[in-house]
Amino acid sequence: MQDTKAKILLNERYRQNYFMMRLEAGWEDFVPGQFVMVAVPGGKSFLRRPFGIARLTGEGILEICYKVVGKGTLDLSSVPVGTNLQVLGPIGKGFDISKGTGNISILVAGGYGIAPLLGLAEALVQEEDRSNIHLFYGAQNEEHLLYLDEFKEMGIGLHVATQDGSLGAKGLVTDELKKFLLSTINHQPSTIFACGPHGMLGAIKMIAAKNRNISSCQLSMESYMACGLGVCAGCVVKDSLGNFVRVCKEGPVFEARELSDI
Amino acid sequence: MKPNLKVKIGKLELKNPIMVASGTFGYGEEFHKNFYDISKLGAVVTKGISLKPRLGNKTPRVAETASGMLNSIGLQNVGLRAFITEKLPFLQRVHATTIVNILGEKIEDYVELAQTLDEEPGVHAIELNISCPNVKAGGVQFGTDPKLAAKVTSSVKKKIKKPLIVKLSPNYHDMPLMAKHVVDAGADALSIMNTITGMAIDAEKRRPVLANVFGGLSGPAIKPIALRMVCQVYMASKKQRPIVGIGGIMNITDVVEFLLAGSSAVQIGTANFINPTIAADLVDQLEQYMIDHDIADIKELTGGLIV
Ligand SMILES: Cc1cc2nc3c(=O)[nH]c(=O)nc-3n(C[C@H](O)[C@H](O)[C@H](O)COP(=O)(O)OP(=O)(O)OC[C@H]3O[C@@H](n4cnc5c(N)ncnc54)[C@H](O)[C@@H]3O)c2cc1C
Ligand SMILES: Cc1cc2nc3c(=O)[nH]c(=O)nc-3n(C[C@H](O)[C@H](O)[C@H](O)COP(=O)(O)O)c2cc1C
Ligand code: FES
Repeated sequence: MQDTKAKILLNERYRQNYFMMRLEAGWEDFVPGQFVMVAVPGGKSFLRRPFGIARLTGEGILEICYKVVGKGTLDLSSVPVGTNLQVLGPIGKGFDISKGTGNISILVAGGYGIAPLLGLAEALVQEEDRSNIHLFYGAQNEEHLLYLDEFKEMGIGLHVATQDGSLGAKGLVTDELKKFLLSTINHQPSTIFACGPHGMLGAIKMIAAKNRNISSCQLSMESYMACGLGVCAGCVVKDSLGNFVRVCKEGPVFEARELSDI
Repeated sequence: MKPNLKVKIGKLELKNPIMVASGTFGYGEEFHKNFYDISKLGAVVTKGISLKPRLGNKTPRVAETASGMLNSIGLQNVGLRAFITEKLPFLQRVHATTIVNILGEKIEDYVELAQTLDEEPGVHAIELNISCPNVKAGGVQFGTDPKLAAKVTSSVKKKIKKPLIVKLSPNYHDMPLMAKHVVDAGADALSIMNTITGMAIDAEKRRPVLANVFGGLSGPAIKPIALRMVCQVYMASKKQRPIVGIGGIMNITDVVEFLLAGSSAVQIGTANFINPTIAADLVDQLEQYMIDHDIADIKELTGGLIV
């Protein structure tokens, strides 16, 4: 982890109220699922804001994708290219792809949860047979789907669901996942990697608990954060033993069965 | 000439007056591993330690506010045993000047904690967090009752040899009176101040933001209040004890303001979250400030306010 002054190379509206930002971080390595804490200029946001790492290129260019939901993300969306931002990262424990070697890899994303799964998919295609990698991706409608071209290009299995049916299946992505698991392909050991809204992660945990072929179900959690350094204990979630564990240190990615309040 | 940054807190001499505040620095490991040699600091004040590990409160535990934040961590900590076996050896190994912040539910808890820590060579001083409810007295906070605060102070002081710092709560209205009570009870120094109780509301949901409803406000939002309290205590106290100024310090100007108001040293709290190297940077900046302003000894700044 380091705190880097990084120049903004790109900061533009991607679709709807989602923005893409690229920063010259100069970092060498990251684990998909890790995140950054960004200091937001403008004086209105006192604490830094956490965002998942979508990609880190070989040249050390960091990419994040954020949704404008409040004052911090709104201010961030108007910061001009060329500005230096203070970026802390990479933070936390990312996805463990070694656990699923040879397994079917099932990626599940909701909303901006797609961002860290892009980096994960890029890492997985280096290691695994593409036909064994499946992305389940849910959003409000077609306009809210991000990075679809990138995923298509990777040649992995794409399973899209939108609430209004404007693209892919109509309904919840977790229903698509259930159908898929019932189909023949599922009789092989599988690993789930998921990032998205709390409710979606809860549904996935239930699905995984019922399916013996799923040896590992890794969920990327969110919580309110103050430091991102592991020192304030503000960001905790409850583990299966009833202890509070830090999302920024022990997480954000947790094995589903090791969490109790989801 | 190199200016003198050394200050004394009771018998303890600090290399410089820049410490880090309890609860904002963990047990030092993260900062030492990722950012800087923490032995550079005047002192590291640990997360508050209780006899038994504490789970802490429900979430959300933190909320941003205008120029600050609220926290209701609920004093989650590893407990005395694990602190001594797992956390203290690290602080000792990296030669950090270590002040252990302690908290209890009754006077006996404080005494047992302090006595045990007094025996540990890696511990340089003890800071009493009295912003905790006294279970035996119906939950009234030690820090909002001068007699109770004096009692816990004298009970601890009698049993330990190391310097004793008492951290005062701004939730009591008469800081000079409170300060007088704990100084008369034997405090070697005063930390002023802890967080101020506040709350945040989500108007859309009509709910408090924090699960605990109320939390402690910290950050620049509380600085004017902290300065006022330091200044009041400094001016009122006849039996002078060093004051450690705390509250919203973000930069070198803030540090100097706290010294001028009467602090001998300061603690950097929430600012560590905003800029993880701030405390180390401030050590260098304070030295540079003294050189630029022709100040030979840091003591010249303490209480240097012209009124
Ligand atoms: C580990 C982690 C990774 C994240 N990755 C991304 C990402 O890749 N892309 C992205 O767009 N967002 C991500 N988020 C969420 C993002 O941090 C929040 O949306 C952002 O901090 C909101 O800031 P704001 O000032 O705009 O909103 P505020 O004005 O602070 O709040 C507006 C709304 O956002 C909600 N909110 C605020 N902070 C958080 C938070 N930490 N987590 C969840 N909801 C919050 C509030 O409840 C409120 O409803 C992530 C959060 C975490 C903890
Ligand atoms: C997340 C958090 C946890 C804290 N935990 C403790 C604690 O355990 N014991 C204590 O005496 N003070 C604790 N404090 C209070 C700080 O040490 C400090 O007194 C206060 O935050 C004001 O300083 P600041 O504005 O520089 O942060 C905590 C503060 C924060 C923000
Ligand atoms: S955000 Fe402070 S410990 Fe995780």
